[in-house]
Amino acid sequence: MLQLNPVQTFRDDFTYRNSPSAIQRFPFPFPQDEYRYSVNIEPHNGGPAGSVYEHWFDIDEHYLSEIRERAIVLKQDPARCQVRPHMRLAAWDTLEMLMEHFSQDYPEHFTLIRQGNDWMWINRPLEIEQRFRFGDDDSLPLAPFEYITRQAQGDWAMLDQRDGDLFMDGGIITGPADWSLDFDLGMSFKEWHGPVPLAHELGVFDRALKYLCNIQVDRPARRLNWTISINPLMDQSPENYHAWGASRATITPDNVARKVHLRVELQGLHRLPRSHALLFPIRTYLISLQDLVSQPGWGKRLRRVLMTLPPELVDYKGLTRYIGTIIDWLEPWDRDD
Amino acid sequence: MTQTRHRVRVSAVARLGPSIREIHLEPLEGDHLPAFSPGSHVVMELPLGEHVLRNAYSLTSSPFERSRYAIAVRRQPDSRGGSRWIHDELVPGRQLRIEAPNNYFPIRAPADGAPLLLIAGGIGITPFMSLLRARRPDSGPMSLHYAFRDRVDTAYLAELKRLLGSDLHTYESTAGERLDPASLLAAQHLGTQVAVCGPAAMIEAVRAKAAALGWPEQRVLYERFSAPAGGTPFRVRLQRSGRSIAVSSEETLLEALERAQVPVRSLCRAGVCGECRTDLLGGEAEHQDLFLSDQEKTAQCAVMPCVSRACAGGELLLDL
Amino acid sequence: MSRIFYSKPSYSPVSPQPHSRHHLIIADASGAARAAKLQAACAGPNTVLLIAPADARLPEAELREPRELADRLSALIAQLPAGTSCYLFGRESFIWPAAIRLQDLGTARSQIHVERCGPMVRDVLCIHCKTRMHDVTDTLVCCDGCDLLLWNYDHFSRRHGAYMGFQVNAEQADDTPVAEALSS
Repeated sequence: MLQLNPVQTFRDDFTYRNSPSAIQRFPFPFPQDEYRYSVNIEPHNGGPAGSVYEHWFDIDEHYLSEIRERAIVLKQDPARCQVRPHMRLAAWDTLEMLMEHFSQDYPEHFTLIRQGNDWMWINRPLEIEQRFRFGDDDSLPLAPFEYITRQAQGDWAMLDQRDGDLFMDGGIITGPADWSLDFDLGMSFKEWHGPVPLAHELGVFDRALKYLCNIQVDRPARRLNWTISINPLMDQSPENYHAWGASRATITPDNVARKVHLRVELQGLHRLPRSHALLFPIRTYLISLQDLVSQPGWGKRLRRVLMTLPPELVDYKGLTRYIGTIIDWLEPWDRDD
Repeated sequence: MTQTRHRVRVSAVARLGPSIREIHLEPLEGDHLPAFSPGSHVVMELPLGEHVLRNAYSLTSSPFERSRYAIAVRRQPDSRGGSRWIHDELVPGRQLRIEAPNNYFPIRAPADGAPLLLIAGGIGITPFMSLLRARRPDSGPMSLHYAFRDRVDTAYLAELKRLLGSDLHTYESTAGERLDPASLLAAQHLGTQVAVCGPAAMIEAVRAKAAALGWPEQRVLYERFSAPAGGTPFRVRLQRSGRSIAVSSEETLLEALERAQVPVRSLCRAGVCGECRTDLLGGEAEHQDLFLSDQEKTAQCAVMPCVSRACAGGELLLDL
Repeated sequence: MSRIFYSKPSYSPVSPQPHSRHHLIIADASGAARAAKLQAACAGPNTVLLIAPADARLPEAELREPRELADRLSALIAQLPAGTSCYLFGRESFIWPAAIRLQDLGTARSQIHVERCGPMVRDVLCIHCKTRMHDVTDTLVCCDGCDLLLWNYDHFSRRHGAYMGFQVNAEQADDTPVAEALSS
């Protein structure tokens, strides 16, 4: 049974901490000792029990903290949740998919009871008991997409598929690694990847797009993405860059272990069955360097990846000011045994 | 990776015409079958004697109905036995296995309120039924142009009249009625999406007329109602196992490989998804798929065994 | 490793598309001359929509505000044949929202041809306070809303018709590059 931590913070006093079991299940993203660009998309059809891959949508000990963080961000900036009008059916698809999987995979916390279109949703951690009619927007206190994703960890985007392309046509993005839904809304696949520097051949985009457009119902895919955060700052948004940017200039040999966090996104891609849109969950995991090096081999590998990271990526990921401090601090873990 | 399979039970067999049956399928486990989008198909496993035939059928039930699926099957005189088996052997109560729905023909308007023009030839009506059965007053404009041989042996006519009223236009060829793609397409306005399903000649006519009238390619969506199955027999050799397998005129290369228990991943079985792409090490393939690039086809470096075969009299060498 | 911003549009001169049954030509004041030239080169039936303020002295301009264009297009789309080609001339802040409007009405991207006209200026949207600065000529701009010094970033939103602006010296106040004139 999954134990949920009491509420911790991803801002101000940053009380967020990983338990030993959260550290053990952290999705460490580097399969080899050097940086290598790859699309690394693979089928998302389960994984070892207890791992972040076990279920379609991972819930962990930080559930209550992330739900509260999302509410704070949305209160400050409602534009973090937007759904274009033609995505109404996709929004209901999302609600159904999340309710079905949450209640199947975490029955101690969630229950879904359906009689025809009369549904009842029970979320015990948040003390919610909601009766509604499936497909009837007016029967819920919020629009269906916002309603369900406010009860789910991680960011969520809905990608409309038309004319052989994908469009960023809806989402709830309160914990982004430096991208803005309000700015990117409506963009095509290549457009919203606009600022990403890409190694090697550019055909990588076309191949990825073809693959994504062919994802079928019940056959989701996943990939890992990573960057570095200063502090366990969930809302690393461009909107608030003027407020958090300065933290990148505060890293010293004394605080690097505590303040620098590896930030890993488990990105899923799920076909929404009725709308034929794609649901794109971006589930973020944060781990401090001091916790990371407690796992055998991780400190050495992270150091080697950072040492071989192309300069364009160092700049794009915002590491320029402190990557040297990280590499120096990790040196003891990278000695020959 | 294997496709999710669902066990279903035939709950009803309805006669839609002398040679058309609608089959209703109920889940054996749980109350719900997976939801799907209009234009989806399911691959059904048909136990024909010693081997299992895997045929794809469009779902004709409403996507909002999850307690059952419906498919419609016309008896094909030249079929590989699938439609004959369904017509002669399949009775209510029979249990079958189907795969989760796939969609390579997502029928939708390009924008809310933009018109949808549907063109169906004969049994090519099937992928449109799920869309039309889920039609709501706020669904946006759509019209159906339905061409068939004769009224008596044509699926869903009465139901379509009820669903569509004056938005249904029928063309009965035995009564001398002809669907003229040129005048139909010329009358459409900017933003219209055409979706066509029917015989290859009908699809080609619609695509050619649309191009001549300046339509953008993306506004003409099409699905051949059957993947090219069968053709001239040929042999395939497998590099890694050293085996040699005969592909009969009655089966696809993929089916022959499956029959010989050579594992090949597959999904759409229609040359669209790319799942069964196999490296071609020798021989010339007659490419029938929509997945490989023209470059790859010319280079003869890969083949899609679900639809493609060897060029006449040839032999293929696969990296299997 | 190359750095290409796929969101930043690139342009090449637009010419009349063959096989089109109708040509829809839309321009703002800066694109009016190009629109007239294209119209002259079109063989078949065509419609020209010119959107310009009253003082632009373009007698044929019938729409005064870009927002009038959206309604006009909704009405027009049901009268034009499916094989229509659309051409847009003018500032980026004008042509791209108009192109998105056409797509929201069902027009395919391949039917829409855009050409940037007028001076080398950008609209910049401040990502922090969402204030929009018009006709920005440099790589840096001071935000009219929140007073932060913004980097005029090469990430373009067609829906907004604007580039993203974010604080250039957020990480270190004294670390500010020199402003340069925009070259593209």
